[in-house]
Amino acid sequence: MNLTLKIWRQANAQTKGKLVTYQISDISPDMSFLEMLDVLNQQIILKGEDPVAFDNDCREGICGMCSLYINGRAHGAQSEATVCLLHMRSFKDGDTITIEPWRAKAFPVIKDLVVDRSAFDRIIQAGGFVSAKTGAPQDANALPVAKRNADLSMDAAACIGCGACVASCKNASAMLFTSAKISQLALLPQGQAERDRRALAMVKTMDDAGFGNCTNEGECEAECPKAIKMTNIARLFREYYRASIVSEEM
Amino acid sequence: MTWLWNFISSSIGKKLLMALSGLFFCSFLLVHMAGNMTIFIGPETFNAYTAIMSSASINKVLEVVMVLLFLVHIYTSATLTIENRAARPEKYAMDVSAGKRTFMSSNMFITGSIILIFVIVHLIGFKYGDWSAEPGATNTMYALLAETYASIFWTAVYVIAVIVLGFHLNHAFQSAFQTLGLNHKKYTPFIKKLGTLYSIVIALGFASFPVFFFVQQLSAGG
Ligand code: SF4
Ligand code: FES
Repeated sequence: MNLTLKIWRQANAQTKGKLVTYQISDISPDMSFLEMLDVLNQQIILKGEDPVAFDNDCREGICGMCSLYINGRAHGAQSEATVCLLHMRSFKDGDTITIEPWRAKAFPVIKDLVVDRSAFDRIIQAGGFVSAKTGAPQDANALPVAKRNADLSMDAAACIGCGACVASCKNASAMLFTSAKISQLALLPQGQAERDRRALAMVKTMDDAGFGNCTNEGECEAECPKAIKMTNIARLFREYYRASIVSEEM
Repeated sequence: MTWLWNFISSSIGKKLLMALSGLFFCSFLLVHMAGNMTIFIGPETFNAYTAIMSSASINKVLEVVMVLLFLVHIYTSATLTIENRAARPEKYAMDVSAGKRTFMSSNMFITGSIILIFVIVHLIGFKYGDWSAEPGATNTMYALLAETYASIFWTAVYVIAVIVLGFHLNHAFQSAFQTLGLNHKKYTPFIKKLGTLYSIVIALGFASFPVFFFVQQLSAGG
């Protein structure tokens, strides 16, 4: 396959970036998208230039590091998969592919296609944890959890924190991510002790980070590689209302 | 009371205020439309209805509530929109919808702004227009409507405005329930369908009044 790539190049957070065009040839349709970028970077390095920086780690769809906006879609046009699981057979010979970083004020570009997603870490630090002792494995089995809640919690826990929801939302809202992290714990008995404090603190941190506000459009749900549902956002609202009404905080 | 301020100024608090005020307007529109339907019974019934509406003291209270809620709706939409624009300072060179984006969902602020202008024009033209509900008066509300909608211009303005309103309501209705935290597979599909039906009924219902007067004078004149 021969392709034209238009890639966002930006030296650092302070400088302005631009799309730079690269030609690449002899790409196998069996390569993954990231392997194609590896080939490109090899060529760039051999020319003595600066390779394209992009985030990746596991390359099997579980870590949430890869984060590319490909031809106007977060993680490319395929559904329920990350960029590392995107293969070149999804493209045609001669295609032009535009590759951009996630764009959000809360996710500033560090270099080229790499953005700083530590705002997500701060949201987790604010309350996305359980500080009660959960005991040894057999103790976990002693706690009764309704099957339905276990399923819903597990579904929410599938969120890998990639940020595609923010990237694809026209408001750069982080509500799908935050709702997944809150739902995962609110549905389990271990999450009850800190339930209200968690909802208040995580929403506050999310708001302060400069994410936009959800307008209930649903692009996030459609782009999420882990199929996190907007019913979680409704639960986030319920948790926040509940916490505002019942918590001891003045 | 800081908790209350924290709540109201949070992203979710603002969304709730927007949803609650919006749902209030949704019910107001139904009542307003039902009342206007007396136009089709005849001038006497409609004028009697306007006389009751302009004299009932409960309406004075409702008017104040409405103005306040309108300001809440405008304020929250303006601040949320400003924050949303600021949340993405650099636009994508290429941005493609994953399929959930609609004309309605992406243009709420624009349709809302058009509705705001329309509401002002509407209040100046009718509520504070030259009409009287006194017995025996000839400048009745019915006469004012007939006069206004004899013009193709005003008929078109009103019809277009209520169509824009319909688009706004289509996204707004189901969105308000999501914001209230009501999203469940056993009723959300129904709410979405109800929202679409509601927005179509409101748009068609309100469009029927100017069209009725316009057609009436056409046939009377022709
Ligand atoms: S909710 Fe989905 S899109 Fe958002 S961070 Fe989690 S996995 Fe990624
Ligand atoms: S590299 Fe880990 S999810 Fe893609």
